[in-house]
Amino acid sequence: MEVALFVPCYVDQFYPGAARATLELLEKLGVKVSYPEGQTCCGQPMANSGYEHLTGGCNENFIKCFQGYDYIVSPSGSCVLHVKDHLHSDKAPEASNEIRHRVFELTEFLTDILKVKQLDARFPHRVGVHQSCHGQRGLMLSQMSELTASPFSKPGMLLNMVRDIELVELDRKDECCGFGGTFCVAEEAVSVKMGKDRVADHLRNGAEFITGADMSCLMHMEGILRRNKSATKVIHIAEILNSK
Amino acid sequence: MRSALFLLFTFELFMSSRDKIIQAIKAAALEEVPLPAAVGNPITYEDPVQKFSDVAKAVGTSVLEAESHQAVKDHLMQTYIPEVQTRWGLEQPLRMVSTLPEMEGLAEQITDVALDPHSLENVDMAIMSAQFGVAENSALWVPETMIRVLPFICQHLVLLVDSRQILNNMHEAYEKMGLGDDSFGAFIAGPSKTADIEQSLVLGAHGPRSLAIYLMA
Amino acid sequence: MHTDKKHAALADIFNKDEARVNWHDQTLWFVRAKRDRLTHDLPEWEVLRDTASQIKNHALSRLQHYLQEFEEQALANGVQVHWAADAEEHNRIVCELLKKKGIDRMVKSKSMLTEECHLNDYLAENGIEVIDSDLGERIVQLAKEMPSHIVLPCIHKKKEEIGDIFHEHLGTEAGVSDPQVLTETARQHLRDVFITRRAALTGVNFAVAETGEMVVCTNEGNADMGAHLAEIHIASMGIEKLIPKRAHLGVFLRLLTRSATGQPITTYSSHFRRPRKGQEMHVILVDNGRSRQLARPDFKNSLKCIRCGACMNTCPVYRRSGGHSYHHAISGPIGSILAPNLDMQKFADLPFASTLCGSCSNVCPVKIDIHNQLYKWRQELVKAGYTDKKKTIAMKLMASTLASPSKFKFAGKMGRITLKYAPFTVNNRFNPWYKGREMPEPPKQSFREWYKGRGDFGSS
Repeated sequence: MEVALFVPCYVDQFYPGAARATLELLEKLGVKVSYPEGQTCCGQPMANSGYEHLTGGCNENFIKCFQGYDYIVSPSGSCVLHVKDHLHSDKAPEASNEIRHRVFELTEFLTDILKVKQLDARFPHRVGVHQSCHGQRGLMLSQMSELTASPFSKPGMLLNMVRDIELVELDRKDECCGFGGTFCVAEEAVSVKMGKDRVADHLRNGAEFITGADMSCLMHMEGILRRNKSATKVIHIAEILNSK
Repeated sequence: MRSALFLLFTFELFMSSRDKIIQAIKAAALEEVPLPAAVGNPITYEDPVQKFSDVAKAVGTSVLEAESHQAVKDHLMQTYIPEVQTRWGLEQPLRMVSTLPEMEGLAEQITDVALDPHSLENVDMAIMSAQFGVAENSALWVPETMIRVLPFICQHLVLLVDSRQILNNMHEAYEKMGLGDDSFGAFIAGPSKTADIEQSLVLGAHGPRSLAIYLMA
Repeated sequence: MHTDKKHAALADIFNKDEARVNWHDQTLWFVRAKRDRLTHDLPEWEVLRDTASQIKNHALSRLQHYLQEFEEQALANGVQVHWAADAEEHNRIVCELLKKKGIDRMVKSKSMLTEECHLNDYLAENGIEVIDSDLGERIVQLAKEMPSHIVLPCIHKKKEEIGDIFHEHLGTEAGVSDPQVLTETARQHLRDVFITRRAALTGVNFAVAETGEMVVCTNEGNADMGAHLAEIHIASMGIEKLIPKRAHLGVFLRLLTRSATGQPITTYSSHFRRPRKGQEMHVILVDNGRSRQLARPDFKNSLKCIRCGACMNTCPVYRRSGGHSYHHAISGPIGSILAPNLDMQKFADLPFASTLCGSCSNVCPVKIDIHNQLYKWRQELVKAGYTDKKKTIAMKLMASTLASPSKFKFAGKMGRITLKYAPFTVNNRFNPWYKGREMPEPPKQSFREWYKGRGDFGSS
């Protein structure tokens, strides 16, 4: 099995630790991982702003980098969802279709493809899980509170394999943090308020760490935590699953 | 050519709104989507009457039981009316009206469909019957009887329903009603209410301040 | 309420008072939680949503047929049927019906359509007074505001503010804010209105093609009080309100109020089929852009909406920006996909007032894919040129950087250098990110640089 690691642009630039943990974790689980060097971005920042028509170049580059692998795995639910829903190319329709079916967010790859049953990881802390909307409602990584359906959680299942971790219950278990791509600056007031409220829920329930499968939400919440000089930190789920 | 265009133009101009709307919808040329099957296995209850009664109480309805119309009449006179009077501070004499001949003697009989509905403005209590009830939401089907506004304009409403006529859910309700032929009818579930001020529930918005249901054995 | 301000600016104003934002958020979250309790109690909930969605899709796909069937039945029932191509025509029809009977005062129960058409203003200009009888609507009417929520029109107002309005207009004592007392005052005031008005206008929740009947749902009983006492009852409805069969009401009445307020059903679900003796009953079928929306493949299913407001209650943006920030009669997520159809330029901001979190689509009882339509409206609006030109330039630059691995590498380095060595150029008040958040700390190496150091490139 050959897996290509897709590291979203802002993760590459600002959160290399999350990408490293993803790579090391997959290697630990016996997967051969490559990192195609020419990769840049999935194009979501433009598309969500209404400029999907400008993402052609991004799409071509993405296809060039990622075609031919068994799977493409990424530590970001939001970018994966964008690729799954919107990657297309008139020049290479088959390759783009293929990629859309082979791209996976890390936790769903671990649970659905590798079918991981145990992990050698330890993280002796109180942790709050942030359900990022695109991962949860888009990729269905976990059950959504709005639906009348049985509960499940792929990130939760994996975190429960980590020794000494204590997961905290939240008052609102799957409310959006307010990042929303360009929303975070275009609608600054509401975005910050949403972020503050989400962070407050974790703090109220005693989280030392806030984790999740999407670094963008965590980046937003980290900005708020640090502004308030909070001792609580954000950490990508890959870093917990890869911790010793 | 020019006259054809002119014709077209005037046609457009004089086409009725009805035709314009129908034309516009036709122009959208939607492909027909089939109707779905009926909802399979909707919820049913082991004891629909119990469920009905629980839901009714939860929305502020008083649920009472009675063997016969005479028993209702007795209970109203001896217990329920004095209770309502005390609780709401009503002044005697009360204006009681009913569409049920069995309530003769207790309540003024409404028998004239041509009665001016405004004349019911000062009714304190109306006693009427419902055709059936629905357990899942405690709604009672009250078809128009004599005066349409009666169950809404009265200060307090009493509805009688045969406890064998408590259905499980709304699908059963519409199955029972079929196409129906009532000029007007309403599902009534509880006293009139509002929560428009800060979501705090207040009973007695514009319609009856209270609803009592007599489940008839 | 007229404003040229856009959603972000209005939301910014709303957020100046954080305690109020918290209160607004929690009040609506409470309604969402009530909705969850009721829907999670019903094992067939998701089946009901599916069924309702399909019934609506079917009805829309044969709309001209069902409109004609409804018209035929309604006429046979003695109801007079009018057609209005747009808001102006709707208002004119109402006005003419009233003038013909020499009526200059009307009572109205909740109808979002008449808000959309700005009926009250039109009638006022024509010398006809309208009193809204839904308590929440009466309150915003007295305050000269628009409803901020389609089901809970004055959810943005605190009881003390309502107390002040009642003191000014209805003569309650100053400082009285008990909801019980205020509601009782409104009851007395509006009873007098119901008794004295010869005309009543109501909205329509569902119209049944098969029987020609119209169903109106209220908790207060105000639609019934108005309609059954007036000599002329006018029902205004959008053409999308039609459902094919009476039995379908069973599906929709189970969904509507559970979704809207977390009640099993409204207190009153009134079925109007024929006028009472001596009364006139009219129905106005209004298009006002609906047939245009029907012809947009990406947006036609927004017409499935049954106006329950669940998408507003669940929307984290709505709860923290208030209904008025949407500057349209129908606010929140559903308003943001309906409004651009009416006026692309005026409402170009609304599809962007969302994080695309998708909670709205999950609570929608008729399964409108609201968040996908928000995304699609963004594409339409940009293509039609209704966005900031500066944003377009920035996006073009971004697209060209991200399409080229070498440009991207260079830009990334520059970005991190800027952050590390000159934080003041970024961390200042001109950067909206920095206003409420710290910037991420720049790492020494990007992942790519670290990976290169590992010597793994070229393995694939």
